[in-house]
Amino acid sequence: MSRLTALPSGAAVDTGALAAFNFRDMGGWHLLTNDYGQFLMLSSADFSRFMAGKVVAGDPLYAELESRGFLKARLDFKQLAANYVKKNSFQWFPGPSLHMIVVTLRCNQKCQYCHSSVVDPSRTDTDMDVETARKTVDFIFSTPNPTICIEFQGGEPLLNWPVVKFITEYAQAKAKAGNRKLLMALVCNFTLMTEDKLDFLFDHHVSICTSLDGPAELHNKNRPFLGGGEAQQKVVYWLEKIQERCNADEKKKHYLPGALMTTTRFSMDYGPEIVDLYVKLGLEQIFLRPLSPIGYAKRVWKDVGYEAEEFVRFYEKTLDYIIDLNVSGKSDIMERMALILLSKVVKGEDPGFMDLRSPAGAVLGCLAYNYNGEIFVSDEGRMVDHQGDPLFRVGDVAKSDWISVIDHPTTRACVSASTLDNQPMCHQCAFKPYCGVEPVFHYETQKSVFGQMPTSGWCVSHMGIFDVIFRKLRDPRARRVLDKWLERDQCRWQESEAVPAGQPEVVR
Amino acid sequence: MILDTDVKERSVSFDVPKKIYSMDALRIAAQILAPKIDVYLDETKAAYEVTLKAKRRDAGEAQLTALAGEFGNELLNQEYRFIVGRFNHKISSLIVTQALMAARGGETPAEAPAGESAPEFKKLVADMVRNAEAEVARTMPKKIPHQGTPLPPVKEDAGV
Amino acid sequence: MKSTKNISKQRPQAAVPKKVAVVSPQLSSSDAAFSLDVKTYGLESVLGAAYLMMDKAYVSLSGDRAKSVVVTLRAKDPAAIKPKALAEEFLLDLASQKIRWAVAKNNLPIREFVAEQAVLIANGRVAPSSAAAAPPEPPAEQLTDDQRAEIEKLISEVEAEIKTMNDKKVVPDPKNIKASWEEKQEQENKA
Repeated sequence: MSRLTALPSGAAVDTGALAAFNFRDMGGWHLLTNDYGQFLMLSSADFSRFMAGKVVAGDPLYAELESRGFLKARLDFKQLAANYVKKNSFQWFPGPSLHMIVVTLRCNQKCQYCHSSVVDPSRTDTDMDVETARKTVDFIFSTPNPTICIEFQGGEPLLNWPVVKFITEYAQAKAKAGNRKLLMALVCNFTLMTEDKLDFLFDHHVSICTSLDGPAELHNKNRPFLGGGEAQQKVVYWLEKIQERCNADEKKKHYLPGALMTTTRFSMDYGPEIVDLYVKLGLEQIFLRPLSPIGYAKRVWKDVGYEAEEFVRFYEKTLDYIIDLNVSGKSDIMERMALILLSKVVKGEDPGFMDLRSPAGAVLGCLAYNYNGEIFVSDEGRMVDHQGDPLFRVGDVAKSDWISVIDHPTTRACVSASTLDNQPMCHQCAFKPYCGVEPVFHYETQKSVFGQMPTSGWCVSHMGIFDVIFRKLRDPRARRVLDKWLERDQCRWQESEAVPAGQPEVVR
Repeated sequence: MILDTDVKERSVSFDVPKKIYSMDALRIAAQILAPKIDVYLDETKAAYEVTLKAKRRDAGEAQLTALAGEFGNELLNQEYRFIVGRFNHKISSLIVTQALMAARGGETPAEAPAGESAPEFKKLVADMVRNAEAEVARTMPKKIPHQGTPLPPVKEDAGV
Repeated sequence: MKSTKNISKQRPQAAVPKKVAVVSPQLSSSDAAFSLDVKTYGLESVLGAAYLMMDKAYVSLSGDRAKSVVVTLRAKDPAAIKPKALAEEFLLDLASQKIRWAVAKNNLPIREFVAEQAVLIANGRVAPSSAAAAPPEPPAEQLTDDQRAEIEKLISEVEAEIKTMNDKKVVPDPKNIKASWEEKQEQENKA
């Protein structure tokens, strides 16, 4: 059967009493979902009864189906609408909250897969200058969302440290003057970190995140220094140092550094070892993400890439290992992708992950600003531009206002293409309420912002991950672990309470 | 689909029935596959007569057949997308309009807050700019002129 | 796209597959073909099932959307899947597509209504539901026949109302954002 799965051959069906739903054969049981984010896991026998219209009042299953909006005659329209509002909260947001500023394309590393299309440290023509930085911040503050998150990216942002400092201070001054909530984050490779820089970042409440692909042999293979050399030791050194400072000061506990890993072909055999390193370093989460063939990664895909099915197998195996660690009590490390999906599936909330929204977060949720002031629908869109295709450029901080960016034809095309009701396969998929498509990914891989889902690597990997997560939800042992993760995640958000407007605040 | 391949010309021809496929789908499919093929079109009353010419010079019989198959699949992708889009158009239009209008935040851009007009604020910003520029001049390597063109587009056989 | 005369002087006539029984494929060494009555299956189901085969097959369609569509499947990797297996998979998906589309069509007005209600709630034009404030509804098994009939009547009325609301275009669109580029061009040309 196709990847959407099919009904058993010869199944008796009476559709008259059934409300709108999508289903999925999970092998031995069935998943039902609807547009309002409700789901039910049914035994195959119960699913057959449901499809045949044989679940009647008085049957315990009837109450379950009714409460979740699967019975046409028993729909609570107001409740379903309220579920829809909560699940799709991002659709009501006034503009993007995440603004990624690429302060330079220069980098001192030559990562095998680098999306960012970096250049060597001599290329100072790719440094953002102070005037462009000022205009970028002005543009960001002209967007309507009362909450702004600025994330420094590169290249290696620490190579343009004066501009990082300027943007931080200027943005905080503007946030205070305009009563806006501001969060700031820095993504860097740690190899150029110093105590002075760290002091500044702490003093200005800038969250810090780095890349840590795994044990030294893996990390150094993926992310060598330009000209060769091993970087992992420095990453570990600064992770530990920053943790030490945070743990020594109660006020800094929300600024514990984060780490992200990038999965390459070389990572496939290292799942448990990568997790063990994250555990050893006391990191709270690990994010198992697939590498996307966008920008420079597309050029070297034959060397570093893999099939979507391979990633799903790696994901399941590594997630199993993480769950085992939790069950045994050896660690309570969480997996970030699972946490994102669980927030959507179990809590019916939007966790703010741009790629899995309908419509996607491009422009609506995030914008990317290149070193020269050009504005892109996302960082991936910026990488496409660096490869010679300006399709995803929607403005320039020197010339454009917010209205021209949101009205841009590319913006509208991305929003339309990533609305799952416009997607032929997605509109029938059981994972539709929780999933999303990424227009830049599909443009890069399939030459169309809409893409072609049956042959899409994005679709294969995300369907595979959802399959894994729902199977874990059905497994009581794994479910206990996942529920604890959700509870901890909720506590964490509650702890970082509302901060007076204009004051700097941590972002995770 | 009956294919007529000409390996010497690197071309493959076939009919696309008008009672199944639309010109819109043809145009979009041609655009999507443009990195791999040039598309030539003729038509009869009943069908579009499509000829694909491969851009790769080493395209053989198997590659030409595969290109025709890809083109046919892309036609189906577009036609079915039109059907789904029309079916769900009220909901998808509602979502798209709502998302865009909410993100817009109103008809006109908000004015800068009053606090930013204050002389103290302007002085603060001027000082920040001056200090930052001085630090750049003092600590950063000299800025070189723009070094030119971005990377060329990746070749289509990148294996993705 | 360029227009030109035929570049091949002797192009063979497209072979018309024999009409096949509705559920029986015509199998060759490389292809599986079906002739499907559009009234029986619905165009959406036929194209939907064909669409889902695109990861493993090249799919071509012929015939007439209004009457009968011939779906021909050819494996992308003939060693991995034979025409018979393609045919079996297609038939399974075709049956499922028929159900999926039937459910979708039965419920479209309700989905549209709920989506509109959500937009109105989010924009503050309708108060959100308050489960605590509403009186508890009787469990379904306690409903009388009259109550059940009333509910069915209410659902029909809601569906009719939705259709009317949709015609009035409840959601304002002063900037004509909903219009496609082509529609806008047409409007500008007319103006």
